[in-house]
Amino acid sequence: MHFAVAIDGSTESDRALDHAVELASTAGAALTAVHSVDPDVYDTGGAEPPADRAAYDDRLIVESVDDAERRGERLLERAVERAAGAGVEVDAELLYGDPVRTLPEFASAEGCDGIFVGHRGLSEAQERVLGSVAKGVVERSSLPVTVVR
Amino acid sequence: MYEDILVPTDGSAGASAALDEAIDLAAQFDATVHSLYVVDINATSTESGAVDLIESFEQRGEDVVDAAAERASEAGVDAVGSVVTGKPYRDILDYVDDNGIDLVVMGTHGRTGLERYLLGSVTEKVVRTADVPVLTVRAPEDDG
Repeated sequence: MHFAVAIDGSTESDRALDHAVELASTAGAALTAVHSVDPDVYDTGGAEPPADRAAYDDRLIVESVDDAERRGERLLERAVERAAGAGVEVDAELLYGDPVRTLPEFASAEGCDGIFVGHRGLSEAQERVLGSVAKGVVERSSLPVTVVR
Repeated sequence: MYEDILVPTDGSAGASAALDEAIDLAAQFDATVHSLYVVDINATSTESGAVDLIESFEQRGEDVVDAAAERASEAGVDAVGSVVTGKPYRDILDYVDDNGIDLVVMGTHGRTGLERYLLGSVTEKVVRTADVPVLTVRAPEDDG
């Protein structure tokens, strides 16, 4: 058996990884840690919304593809170390694009038996605004998906 | 790692695919499969006749969980079944808490066209709010 686990650096994704590692080590399965490079827009913070265009430029940082790639590689290295440390056969794959699309495609193409993904546990209203990778993957994947909180 | 696996069921193809997956996992981990049928109180009216309707749904629920237990025992897996009447996702979460469930397995719809976006409101709510991992299984596509 072979499972894919989505890695994005969040606490929830760490928990999904731990869960997948535990299952893989019990079931004698192999793991592939997967991260999709999808440059983010970051808000550097502040209690009030930015007042004008200049304030937006000061606060919002668009991550470059290079930075996003390096970050993804770092996250994958950590995930591989963690799984290998538990004695699980593991490799890593860096994908490019929206994880909701790339993860299910990759896992199906690789003939995986299932996908593990973390979930933030947002309210319905928050989720309508922010979206949810977990939910998107569940909706699009033809493989079984385990959502871990 | 899994000792008690819950499969909420409504007798649909999705729930049936979820049950197969749950039985496979339970066999591997020597776990117990819990099947739960919730009669949706909101789907029945409060008009006269509602009591009969709820009773007929409860009877159907008993048949569905009995069939699930039978499939599990054919695979050599321990199974228990319950039928409750209430609000599906709320009762599923309560069952998880009350019975020390460590994995919920649920079905989803097909992946083509509009259906792709219709996750099923009960599955969607459970995925979003359950504290334990939720394994979602796609129903086989047989309707083209």
